[in-house]
Amino acid sequence: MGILRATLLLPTLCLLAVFTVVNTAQARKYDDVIQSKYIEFAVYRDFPPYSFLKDGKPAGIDVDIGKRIASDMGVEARWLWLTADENLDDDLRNAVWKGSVVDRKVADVMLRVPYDREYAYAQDGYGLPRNDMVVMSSPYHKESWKLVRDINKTRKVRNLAIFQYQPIGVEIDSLPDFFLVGTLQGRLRENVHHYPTVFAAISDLKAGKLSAVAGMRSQLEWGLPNRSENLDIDDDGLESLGRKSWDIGIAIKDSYRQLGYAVDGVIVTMVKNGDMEKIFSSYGVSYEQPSMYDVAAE
Amino acid sequence: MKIMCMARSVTVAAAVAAMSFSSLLNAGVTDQDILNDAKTTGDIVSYGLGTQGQRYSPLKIVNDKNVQSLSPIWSFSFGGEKQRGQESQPLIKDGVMYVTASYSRIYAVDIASGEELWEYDARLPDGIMPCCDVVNRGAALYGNLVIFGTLDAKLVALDIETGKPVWRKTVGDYQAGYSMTAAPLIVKGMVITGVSGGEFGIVGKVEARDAKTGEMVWSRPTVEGHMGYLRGKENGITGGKAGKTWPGDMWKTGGAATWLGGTYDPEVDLLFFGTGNPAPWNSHLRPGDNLYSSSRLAIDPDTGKIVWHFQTTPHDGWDFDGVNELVSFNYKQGGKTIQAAATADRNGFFYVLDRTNGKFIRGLPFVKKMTWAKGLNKDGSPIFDEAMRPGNPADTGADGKKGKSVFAVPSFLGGKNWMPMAYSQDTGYFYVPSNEWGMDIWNEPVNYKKGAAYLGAGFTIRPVFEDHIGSLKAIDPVSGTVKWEFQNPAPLWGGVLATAGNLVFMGNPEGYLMAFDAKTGKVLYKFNTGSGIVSSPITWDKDGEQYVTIVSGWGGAIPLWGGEVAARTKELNQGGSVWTFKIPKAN
Repeated sequence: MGILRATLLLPTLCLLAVFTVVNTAQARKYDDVIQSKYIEFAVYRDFPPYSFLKDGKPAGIDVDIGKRIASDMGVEARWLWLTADENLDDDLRNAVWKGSVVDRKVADVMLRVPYDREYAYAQDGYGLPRNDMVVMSSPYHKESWKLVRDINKTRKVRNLAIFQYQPIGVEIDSLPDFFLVGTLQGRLRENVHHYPTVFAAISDLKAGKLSAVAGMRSQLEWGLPNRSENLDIDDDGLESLGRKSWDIGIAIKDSYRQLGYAVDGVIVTMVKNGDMEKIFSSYGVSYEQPSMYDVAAE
Repeated sequence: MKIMCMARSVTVAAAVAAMSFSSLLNAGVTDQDILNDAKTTGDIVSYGLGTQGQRYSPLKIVNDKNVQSLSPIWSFSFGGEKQRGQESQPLIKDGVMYVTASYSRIYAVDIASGEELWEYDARLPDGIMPCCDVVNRGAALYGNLVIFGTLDAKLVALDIETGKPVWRKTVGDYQAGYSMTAAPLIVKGMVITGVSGGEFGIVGKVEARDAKTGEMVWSRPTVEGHMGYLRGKENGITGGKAGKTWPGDMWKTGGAATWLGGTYDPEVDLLFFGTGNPAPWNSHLRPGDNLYSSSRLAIDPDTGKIVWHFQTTPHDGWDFDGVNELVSFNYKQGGKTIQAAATADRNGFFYVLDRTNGKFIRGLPFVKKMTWAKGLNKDGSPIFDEAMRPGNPADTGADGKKGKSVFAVPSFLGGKNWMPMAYSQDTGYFYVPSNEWGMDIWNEPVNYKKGAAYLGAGFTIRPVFEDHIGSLKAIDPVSGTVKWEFQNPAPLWGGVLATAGNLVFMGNPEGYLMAFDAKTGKVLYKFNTGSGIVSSPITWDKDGEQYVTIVSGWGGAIPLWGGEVAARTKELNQGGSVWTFKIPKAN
């Protein structure tokens, strides 16, 4: 298969591309993964600090977690770079159980999948399970929405009222976008500035063009390394946001649970022995354990 | 990986030699050929059988008396493992058919034998996620070029003889969500296109390029506040200035994609393009009319300036794209010729407009049930039923409960979707392929997007009637009445063709090419093509015989939606072939 894939790069051999379709990666069972000596992870494309290319090489928190899982299983880690679709249902279909309409490739394991029982068992409008083709398991992180404020500008005001007067940035089509535009009868609407990524908003914050940015904690921290004291990351003002934090785990195809257990074993060990936190720290990001471990610790 | 490779440019040497000879005698397709397309029955050099988009042929060799004898003479398979929806309308010129297929493929086929002359398979970038399925609706011809749009939002011009690329231009960044599925339009030597991309962060636009070289002539964004350009120079802000009908900075990312392309009427010298729904999806977040979303725009082809607009769904909250084709036609009233144009909108209303100025003449619902609006005002604007507007996300609390659910009819797939209607110059009726369905819609708080908690919309599409969703209707645009209806169990998703033989042709997802009596709607003929039909038929003549061609291959948007609609279509198989018919000569 490797040889055939290589031909995709050679325009003169594009005729062969037709035949590689039958050889595209399938989600595989545990024995096949071990025997093949590699495991393929689906990670989001261009999504720092979780998964991105640094000097052309895969990097990021999720990439490091994937590498560690692979090495503990004695196999090589490979990557399926996933372009985010409209929602997680679509991503699970594209990455785990069916493949995208264009190339039909799926990975063995998808990382950065929210771990939420309500979601995992959700039904569609006809009362049928929405995501019965995948198993979501092995929470390894708790992510949350935060606000980073420039307190030189917002001063002592800790609620949202200040954004009736001062500009706040969000990534377009994110939950904080909908929340800030809709909350308080729309009174913040004129001051909510939309950006293609949260990092574009952060650069305007650094440039003094914004008073605050709302986004995911890991991304805010990654985007503001060694930040000055006036840039304060907190969740004040987000009290009535529909979902303030959520756990993150993995997804595998529902028929390959044995592989899931093997991956789970590595993840549980990493969370418990502190290796997981070390990976987050190496990217300058605070680590919060998933809720499951709060209970276990008691 | 952005390598584009011409994977296959298979040529049949003898056929190419023959074509080269014939093309020496022809200067290729001219502007005049395109303007005359509706009258010249021997070729089809534009999408819509003429730029007005009437899809009417004056041919009557095949007619209501003999259509029962119509028989297939050849079938051509697109081959490969890539199938899904085939929504293409073929073109015919000098004995060759140019037909596009799913996954950005195009084929040249000998119309006498059905043999392939060449194939061009646009190689798509790795990891591309086309927003709007993998369909293609057709190509354009100009000079010795055949031009079509690809899923990675590029416009490719190929040599009609060899299928080799002559020029290629990027219309939008596919990584930003742009794509291209519509057939380009050629006007005054320019190739005029819209762009697909229904998601956040994009802004619709109409662009004109020199058809011979692909060089940009003008660009016109379709959302208020964005600058237009003519030959590299600023050419006025769309709508005058930003923020008149949008809150905050939302105009910057307002949507209004022009994904279905447009039509052109030489009598009034205007382009007509429709625009998609505004972003963000939830209307409560963007109070205002949100111009020019869900509208029809009349654009000056020489300057790219908007001459008039008609907004079918102001402040849209139901995903009622306003992209459906505006078809120019004239009618007589009180001894006067009215230069009109008609469109059948996603929102379920059929509109007749004065195409010189965009003024509303009359309108009527063309679906039997409608809940979102109670009717039309005198200016053609809808009388909203505010109880039927999907809920405000701000009312979806932290309790994780879904917001108010409303049953909106039509569904966001529309009373009519992309599939083009036809206008008969004989009966004076429009033949409108419509669907009778609604949607439950609510805010869905248990949702995630790219590793983050999200507030999406949940919806389920439900048929309105037990026994059918699809409904082909003959509408008299002058009296504003429905003259006949044909009911189809599965949703209709293909275009219509009217002919002077008192016939209306269309295909259905069940796989049949059907011919109807244009006056009564009686089914006079049907033939099963082996896969569902979601494309637009054509007809032409050669040596005294009339031919009908339709592309077969089930897919498009309908199979993407599950539930009760899928239950009516799940037995349908995919495919990918072109069928050509004629009436056999008596021996």
